[in-house]
Amino acid sequence: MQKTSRSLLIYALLYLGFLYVPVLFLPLFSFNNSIYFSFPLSGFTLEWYQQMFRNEAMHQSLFNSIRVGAFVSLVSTILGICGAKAVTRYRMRGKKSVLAIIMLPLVIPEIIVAVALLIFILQAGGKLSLLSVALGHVLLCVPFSMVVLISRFESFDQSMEEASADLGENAWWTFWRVTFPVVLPGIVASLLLCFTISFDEFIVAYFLSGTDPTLPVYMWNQLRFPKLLPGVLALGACILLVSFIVIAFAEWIRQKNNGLGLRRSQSSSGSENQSGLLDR
Amino acid sequence: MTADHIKILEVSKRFGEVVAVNDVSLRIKRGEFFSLLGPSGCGKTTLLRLLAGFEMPDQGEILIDGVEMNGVPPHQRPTNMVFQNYAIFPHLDVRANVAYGLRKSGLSKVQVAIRVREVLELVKLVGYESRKSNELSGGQRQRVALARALIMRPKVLLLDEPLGALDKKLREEMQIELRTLQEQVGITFVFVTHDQEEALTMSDRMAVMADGVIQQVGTPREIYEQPVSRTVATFIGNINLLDGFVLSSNSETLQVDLPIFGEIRIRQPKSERIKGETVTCAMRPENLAIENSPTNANIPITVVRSSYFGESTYYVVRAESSSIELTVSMQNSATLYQSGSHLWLSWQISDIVILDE
Repeated sequence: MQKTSRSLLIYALLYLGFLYVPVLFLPLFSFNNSIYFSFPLSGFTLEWYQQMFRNEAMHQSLFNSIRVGAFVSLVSTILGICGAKAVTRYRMRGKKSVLAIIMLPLVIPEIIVAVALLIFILQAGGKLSLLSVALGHVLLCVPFSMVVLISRFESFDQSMEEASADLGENAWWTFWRVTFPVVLPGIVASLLLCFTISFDEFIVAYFLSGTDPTLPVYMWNQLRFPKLLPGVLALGACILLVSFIVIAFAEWIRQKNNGLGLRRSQSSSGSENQSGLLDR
Repeated sequence: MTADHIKILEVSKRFGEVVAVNDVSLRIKRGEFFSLLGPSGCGKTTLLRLLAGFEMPDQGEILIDGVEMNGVPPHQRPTNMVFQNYAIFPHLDVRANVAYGLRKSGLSKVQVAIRVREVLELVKLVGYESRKSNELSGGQRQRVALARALIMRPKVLLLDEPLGALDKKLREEMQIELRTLQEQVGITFVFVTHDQEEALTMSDRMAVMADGVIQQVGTPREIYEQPVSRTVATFIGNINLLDGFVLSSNSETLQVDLPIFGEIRIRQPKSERIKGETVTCAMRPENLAIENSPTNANIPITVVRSSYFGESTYYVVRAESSSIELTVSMQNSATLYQSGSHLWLSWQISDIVILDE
């Protein structure tokens, strides 16, 4: 018994190490006063961070990514709410096939989506811009938003909506007074998830951004110049920190709301759901 | 103003292939405590949901206070519902839950507070205003659900098995409280339950449903003492059923050859029976009695087994003349009889009921 748990522990540590040690090199080298990635570290510096704060082009691309991310998370979540409500609340013909088609971008390789969108936009006479990137990202994010929200909608009792109707509220007011507040943690999770997906999405952004790069595209371009690499590392370290804070916050919200009389925890039903959808 | 508060006229409702409610007609009086009783899947909840407006009938119509309800959505009906699982809004506290339906009432904050206080007093929940649903017990949630519906001052209160989730002791207390409450507020209550005892103790009148059809409507006493069909008879309480053969009949009486009991003369039932027909005769266990001597009894029996229920004991007895077994219940103030004892069974002709089928 003792032996099993020890080998399990070693396995777990190796696994975590494999996942996170490479990532930790980022902040480590971002404080190293050499432009080359090599041990031993030559000395401590904040120069790369200062460089990062001075870099206008980087600021612009960061700002682009935030704008795209905000737009994508909002639009995808609104579409996700409508879709999830329809899927969980209404009886309709061909529901499963419609759902499968909505979920398809989850399994289609992104590069295919990106090429297809590129051809489509150019053929349609559109211009490549941050808007085209955002629309591409919405396509990718809606399935994720749906998965999160469907599980939330399913875990709350439909008779609460009926109770609201019974107490004199029409569908619109029922949505605002009951459905929305109860589903809110799912909405927050969906907003954060979609923002994160959009923020670090590279392929679609690379194909569809015109002259305005998003942050990942900008970073990719920087990698060609070794001199600029440490600045990218500093930026990477900052993004890592922010992501960590965002995820911790999202998890805190979820924990806090778990006691709200919901039948299942969101994460477990979410993963069930996701695998169920992919099976079909 | 008519006495019929709710009229259900030839209403049917199908879900795909399943006919949940099949050509049901029912009249419920104003201020009445009316129960819909039946096993699960008999259509009683569907009928309640048709009244609430969550379902619309495929055929027939429903009138409340003489107003046609077809096409009227739930939020415009003069009904309120207490849901089976209470459906308390989890993000709101008791006060906000109870006041939920008053948004459009045009009452001031102070008036709303007074109304909330009134109904919370009615359901004995004062002091719990700031609790959330996950901080309440089952019984308290049930009171919140009641208060939330009653604050709307509905013409009809619909209750969907509201006591189903409570333990026995609490359920019995709530039965009495609900009944008292109904008398206090004077609203028509339509109460769905699968618990026959609950329906019998609480209702002014009740309807027994099975397979989407109403089997019998009447006071609890009528239903218990004069069940019309085998379904009703067996669903409500314990009953002995024996098939007899009609020897002769006239408009007043029937002469029936009944196993164990022999030839009996009995009042002709509403649906008249003629010579040669088979009739089902029913008798309640408490209307039969075991006697030590044949002075007042004429059927020799053997006690097969007994089950003790505190205030009474159920005996299964076999008539010595046949292999048919009957159930007899006796108050325990009397002697307890041992299995295998040879004793006598006494009965009264007036306690034998002929079923209509």
